[in-house]
Amino acid sequence: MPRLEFKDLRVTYATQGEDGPRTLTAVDGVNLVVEPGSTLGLAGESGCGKSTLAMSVLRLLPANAKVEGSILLGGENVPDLSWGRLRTVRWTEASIVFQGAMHSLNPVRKVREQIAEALRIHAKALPYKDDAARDTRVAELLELVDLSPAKGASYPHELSGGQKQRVMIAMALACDPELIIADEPTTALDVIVQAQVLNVLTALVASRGLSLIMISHDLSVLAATCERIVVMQQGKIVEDGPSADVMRTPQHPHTRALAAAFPLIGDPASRLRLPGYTAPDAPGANPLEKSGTFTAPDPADVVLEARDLSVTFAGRGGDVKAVDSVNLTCGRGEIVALVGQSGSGKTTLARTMLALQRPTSGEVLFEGKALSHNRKALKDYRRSVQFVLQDPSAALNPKHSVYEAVAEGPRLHKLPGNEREIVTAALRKAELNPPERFLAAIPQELSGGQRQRVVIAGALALDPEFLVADEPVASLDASVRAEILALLLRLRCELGLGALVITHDLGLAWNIADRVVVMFEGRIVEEGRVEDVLLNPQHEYTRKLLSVVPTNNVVEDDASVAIGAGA
Amino acid sequence: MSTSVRTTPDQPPTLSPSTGPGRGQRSVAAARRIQRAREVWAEFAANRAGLIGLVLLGVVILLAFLAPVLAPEETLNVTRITSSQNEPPTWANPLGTDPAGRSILAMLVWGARISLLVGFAATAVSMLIGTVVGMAAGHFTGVTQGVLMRVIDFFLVVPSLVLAIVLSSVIGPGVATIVIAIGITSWAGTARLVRSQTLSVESRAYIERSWALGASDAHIIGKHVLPAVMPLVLANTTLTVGSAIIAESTLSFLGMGDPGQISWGSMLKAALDTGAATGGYWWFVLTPGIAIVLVVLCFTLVGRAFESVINPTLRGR
Repeated sequence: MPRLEFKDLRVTYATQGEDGPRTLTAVDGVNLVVEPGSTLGLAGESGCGKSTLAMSVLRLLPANAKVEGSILLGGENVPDLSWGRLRTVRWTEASIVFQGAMHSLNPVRKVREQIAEALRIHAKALPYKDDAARDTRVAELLELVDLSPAKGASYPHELSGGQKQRVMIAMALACDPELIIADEPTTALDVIVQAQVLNVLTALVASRGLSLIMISHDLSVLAATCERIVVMQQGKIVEDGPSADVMRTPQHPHTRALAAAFPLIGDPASRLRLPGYTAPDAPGANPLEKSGTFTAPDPADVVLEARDLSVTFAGRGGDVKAVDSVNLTCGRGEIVALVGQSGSGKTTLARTMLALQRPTSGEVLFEGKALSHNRKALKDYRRSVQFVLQDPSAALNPKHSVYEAVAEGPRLHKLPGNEREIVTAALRKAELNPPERFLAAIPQELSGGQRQRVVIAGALALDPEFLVADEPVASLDASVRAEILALLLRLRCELGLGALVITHDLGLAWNIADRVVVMFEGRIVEEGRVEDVLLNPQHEYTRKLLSVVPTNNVVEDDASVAIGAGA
Repeated sequence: MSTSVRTTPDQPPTLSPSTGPGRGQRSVAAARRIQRAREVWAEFAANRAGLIGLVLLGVVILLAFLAPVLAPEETLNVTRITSSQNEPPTWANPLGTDPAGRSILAMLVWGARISLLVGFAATAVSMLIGTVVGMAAGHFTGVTQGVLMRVIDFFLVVPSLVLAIVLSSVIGPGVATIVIAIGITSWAGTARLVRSQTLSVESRAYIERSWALGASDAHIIGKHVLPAVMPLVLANTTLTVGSAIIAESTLSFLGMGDPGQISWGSMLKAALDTGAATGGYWWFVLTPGIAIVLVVLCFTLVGRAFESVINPTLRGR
């Protein structure tokens, strides 16, 4: 008997549209079987219905959801279960590791109590009736996820993101369920912590014979953990097969798009090359395309420079050096990737370079001149160096139309010329064609990728010399990620616009950057040409970063090109 | 899993290139504004209590406007009155007469003018000060913020009635005095509210983007913060009008008003002074009191309904 089986499952949401009630189909006729002890990866972009599918297993969907078809959990049909039976089944037979550990824990209770909560609720069925037995069990669970039992006395805010996520896994394991559903367990975590969490999950599955359903938009994460991958698009399953096959020979175009979005570091086919755009100086690019106005960036022609820059924040228990004596140069028309894990000070460095943050010591130089902090000089500087933010949904005023958002810069600087022409030209440069279609739209009417293009258009409207982009694709879907990166690469090649791109994603650096700068605890530990740093890392930290990048096992055998994947 | 309604990206109308710079956008923006106003109205109308309040308020305001027609001024002229003093309600005088023989109904209608006028004017003063100071206290940091916050705190803790009495005794009694006294003493709460909204708006990423584009303080406040705090201020306004009307009654009752003008507060004062309250002439005491309660209730209902429109989380509570 399969552990879990979906039979022709359809989930629809009744929503309120502009013109009366509408229904929205989230899951559309899914048939899926999960055998005991197997691991299944569920991939797809946001809105493809993968979380709805997962939540339907424990009947955790909101009240406006309508479920048709059957969900057989260990032979019982979940939609038909009585309330009492459902409560018993929840957590003892199947449990969920929720998305976003940051927000899924109660901030005012110790994690020990939160893990014990499930034990207390299911005390009748399980041998954890008294506090002592529960305490031993909680300690045992914490050890399972590689946390010392003493950590149980901490409150969520005292733990790091990875530790919180491991607490969530311990909670899911509490009642010894047969099936664990992990909903984007590593999405908010940086690569190093992601590797830790994935290791814990894989080890548990192997040692206890659990069934695991893991949801992610990142195919390489799934390939590292699961035997089988199922790809969903618009509520339907479009591809289903063993991980290796799906990664090596994707059949469906959507799978190919998802797989292509995360490049293999070291693979020349993705160097300065993205689906949809290839830089003229990419390895093996058609020499005929090399004609035109493109000239390779000259690192000696420095546009933006940080000289011995330090930023210190006053924190509890002493000052925190977010940026520590950093020297950084960015050449004209050059894309520099600044990589590091969260908390390494890269965003603070970017904000300081943009003069949004005052340095404690050291200086920022633009075209050889030190930046002064008087109003006039700052305004001129901001016309030349523009900012692209991480989350495009938050970076646009929800009340302003695209036109107003893009025209904001030109209006502030009172640029000469026809405002409408400036705006449409900027939109065209950001590949929003035809611009007229977008002028009157407000951000909520646009997709995530279009919003990020509007932010970029807003920056381009000022005709800047240089861009600073803070995690420009971190909050975007895989296929959109490739499009936005292609845009940045095209701007570099066709307009000679350089950029400092901050990221924790080494694949991004491989895709578009000329040089890469590795930052660790506020200091720059390694920098150089992308090929040199990523293929032949010198510093221990760079090696560690590279070792935890989940790679497709496709090219892994071809060790001459690829970096050995340690994860 | 988000279940919120994502509006379908309807095709924005294609604009002909012949329209001048910005003109096409402006008409589109205007259309959107009208559309938004319709939505707000539909949501407001769905709240029955708010709708009843709004209708009643409309009636009261209409009556106040029509006062000279409904009850010509000479009916209140003590030298021309035919009715006797302290007459209980009759068909000729539906709400009875006051100790001078004037029709209480006529006085009530005239009093509505002053009460509403003071209510609106004082609220306008209070909202203006509150919004400006609140936005400044939220936007600026350091010394400016510190000083502004201490000023707000001062006005929050100062006993407003005492301050109003002192002010009116300095400026001299009159309608303007009452307006200023109420306005100056009641803005601090609004300022706190506006400040917290300003802080939350300014933490959004689009403010950071605006700074990076080279924005000035005035641009940030005018283009981003003010439009975001405005709905909150408007909802708060309707709630404040109610309390301003009560404050007006209190101050008039205490004799700070213009003795030549009838307001609901001064009617209550007259009732007390002439012994109507103790003499059993209930119609002179109750009617202005009930009028105050009714109008304030209407403003509260409208304000609450409006609040639930701009803050959907309050709906159904």
